[in-house]
Amino acid sequence: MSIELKDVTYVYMPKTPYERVALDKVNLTIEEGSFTAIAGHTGSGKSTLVQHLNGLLVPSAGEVLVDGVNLLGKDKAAKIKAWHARQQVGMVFQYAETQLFEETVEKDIAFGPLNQGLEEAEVQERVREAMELVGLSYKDYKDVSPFALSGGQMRRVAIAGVLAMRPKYLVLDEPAAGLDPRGREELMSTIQKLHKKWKLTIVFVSHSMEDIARLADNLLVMQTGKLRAVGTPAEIFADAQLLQETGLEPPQMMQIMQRLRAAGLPVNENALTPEAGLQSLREVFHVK
Amino acid sequence: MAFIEVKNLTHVYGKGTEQEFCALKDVSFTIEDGEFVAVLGANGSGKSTLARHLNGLLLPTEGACLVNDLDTRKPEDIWAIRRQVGMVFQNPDNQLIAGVVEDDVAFGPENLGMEPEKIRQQVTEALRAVGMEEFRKFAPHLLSGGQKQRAAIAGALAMDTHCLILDESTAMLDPQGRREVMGTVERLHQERGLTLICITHFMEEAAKADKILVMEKGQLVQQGRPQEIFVNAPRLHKLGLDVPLAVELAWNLRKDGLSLPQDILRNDDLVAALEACYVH
Amino acid sequence: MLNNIMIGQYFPGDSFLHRMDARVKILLLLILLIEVFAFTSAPVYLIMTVLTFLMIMISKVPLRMVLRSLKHLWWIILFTFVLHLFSHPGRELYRIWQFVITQEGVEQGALISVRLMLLIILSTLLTFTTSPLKLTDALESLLSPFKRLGLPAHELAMMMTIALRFIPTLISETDKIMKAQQSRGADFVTGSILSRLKNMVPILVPLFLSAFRRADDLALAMESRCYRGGEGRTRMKEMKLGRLDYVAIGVFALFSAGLGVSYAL
Repeated sequence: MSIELKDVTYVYMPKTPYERVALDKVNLTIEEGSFTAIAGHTGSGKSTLVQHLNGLLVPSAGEVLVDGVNLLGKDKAAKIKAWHARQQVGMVFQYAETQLFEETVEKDIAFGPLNQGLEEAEVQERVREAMELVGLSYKDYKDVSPFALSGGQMRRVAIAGVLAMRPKYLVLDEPAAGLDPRGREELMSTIQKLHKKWKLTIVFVSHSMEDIARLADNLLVMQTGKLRAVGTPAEIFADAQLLQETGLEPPQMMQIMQRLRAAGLPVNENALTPEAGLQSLREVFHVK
Repeated sequence: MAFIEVKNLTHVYGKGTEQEFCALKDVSFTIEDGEFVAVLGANGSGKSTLARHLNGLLLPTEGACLVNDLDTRKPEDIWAIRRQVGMVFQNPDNQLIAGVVEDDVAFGPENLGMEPEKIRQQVTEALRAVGMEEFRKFAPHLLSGGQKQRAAIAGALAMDTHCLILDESTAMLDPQGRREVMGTVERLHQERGLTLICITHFMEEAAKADKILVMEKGQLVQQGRPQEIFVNAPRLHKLGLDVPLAVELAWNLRKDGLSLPQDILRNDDLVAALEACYVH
Repeated sequence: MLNNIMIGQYFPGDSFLHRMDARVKILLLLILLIEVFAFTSAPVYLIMTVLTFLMIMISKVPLRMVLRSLKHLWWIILFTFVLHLFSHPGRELYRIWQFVITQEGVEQGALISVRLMLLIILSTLLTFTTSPLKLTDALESLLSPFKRLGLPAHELAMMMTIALRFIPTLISETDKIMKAQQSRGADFVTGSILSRLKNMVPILVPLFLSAFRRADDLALAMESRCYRGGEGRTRMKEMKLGRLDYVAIGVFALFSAGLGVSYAL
């Protein structure tokens, strides 16, 4: 099972002076169970791309298939199938806390499941489950106004609101943007847990090469509306020319290792994360 | 004489109400003319409240805040203070007032009652200083985040600001925007001796400062040169803060018994130290 | 989806009309509109129409764009025309059951329709050739004599400036919130009007909250930049009448005088 984009082109404001090709014949597959990161400059088409994954934007040409179902249903039966397929893809926008609107955390998270037409009891169960998934105690927080929470907690509530719909795929557009270091760390490990423990397929857009190196097993690089490269983070970050052309920098750790290597130290220049870097340095300097 | 002097500053929100909350408690420090100071602290530690005292947007509940010998508590001083201490806020979308960049930059000088000819000069000069001349006639919503923040900096410079406070001004920007903004303010700091107060979560930005203030729960818990602050990585982690990667690695290797100098701050320092270490 | 809405209808250019002082333009437009109302006669309207086309040509705004401003108003014009057709006693031209179309009705209907179109096109021409910013400044300047009567001219103009500045921001924000709620299964398209209104709550609440947040931020930013109301404030762009404006006023005065005289005769 997978999300597939076939020759997807998206033209922004067609037939106006502002016409712009935001996506240009993009072909890609996001396998179920993968942890995919999308990187690229602002304006490279990342946000436009992710909005196609659950049918928020309809391709100008080409098609999007979720588990083999075209998101653009032609007749009534196909439309119903497409609606169900779209529900499989949960979407968390940048600064997701701005979507909160209900009086209590519980009511806000219940919004999605209620729209799915579920029974009261089922909805409550899902809210409880979703809150635990993002690390908010149901008992302590369900009756609290979401607007009385801290920024990081509000974002968790917003993510819970998406998780409560039990999507198979979770798409996040820069989930940690604007949080302080602790908030970032907590949120990224929550996302990692959703992937490892709850087997959610994760697609996330990020400017942080550190986060990508640490979490993703698949990396898509966008450049001016085109899918420029696909590979594991290690493969992509090893391609200096590609990084330079797309304006991306390898993770800090790798930059340090590459400079040490250039200076003649036999370190592992492909160490992506601080853990891997530290291990290599310890070996080279014979400590521990 | 210090440029900014904060003396036993305490700030209580909603005093005497049920929501009474003490955001700053007995904070004292000084900032010299031309200094680059970074303020670190987890969300809710009182950083923004502190920043807002420095140009009189908030007034002390107790204690005082003096800018160039002017007192924020004196209503007659407040405009002179705000003119000298400019502020750039977090959200690039919420601080440009006019529908065209040059009109926005002119907003401050217009409020100060400058002559039109003088305002035009100030605006041109300020836009040049932040490298935004070509966007003079642009509407704000057509600019990138980094460009919007640079326009906001120009808005402060056009008032002949002497000191710039960046209140998490890079938090909502992408890496390129962050580089643009930090590059601009660092250049202004070096070339014109602009005093820079930078509230940030990005430790690489803080590492470049002359001095770091660390806030926790409304109190100033530590201040010193970056080398002194970052030397104790676990302590900063406990406060919910990061340290730069080079510091973190050096700290770990030192703990393992590798003898590395104490003042490693940036990648350059670490690479040089490890090279030296390897040869011996 | 909301991005498709065009903001304002300023058509940037460098024509005679673009360069004229916005205050002069507003005042001349007002007088012109009064004349259109005062001198209801076919020859005057003919002259007015010629003048209007002349001004469109001078402004270099494409005729097609100017006519587009009538798009939503066609039915009002048509309705007014039809109403007049039947409501004037006079020489019978045609009869449908009890309703009589008269010669006078046709003439009046045509005149009123032309009057409406002139009103709309002339006003549009002002907004086409004047940036919203200049328009705001001009309004502030024109209204400032009424400050003594308690009219907050500066505050009104500042509100307009800020509103114009934030329209694009709020539109993209609305777009984002709508998409976020659609992703959570919200439906804004189907259902009865009542349920559709109810469905707007998840958009309106976040939108209002964010607007308040923005207003808070903006107030701080304005205070930081020494804003303390209109008192003692200067402007970078002074409004000064140039030679152009005096020429325009002169030509216009002659034109109006001629029009008045010919109407009286």
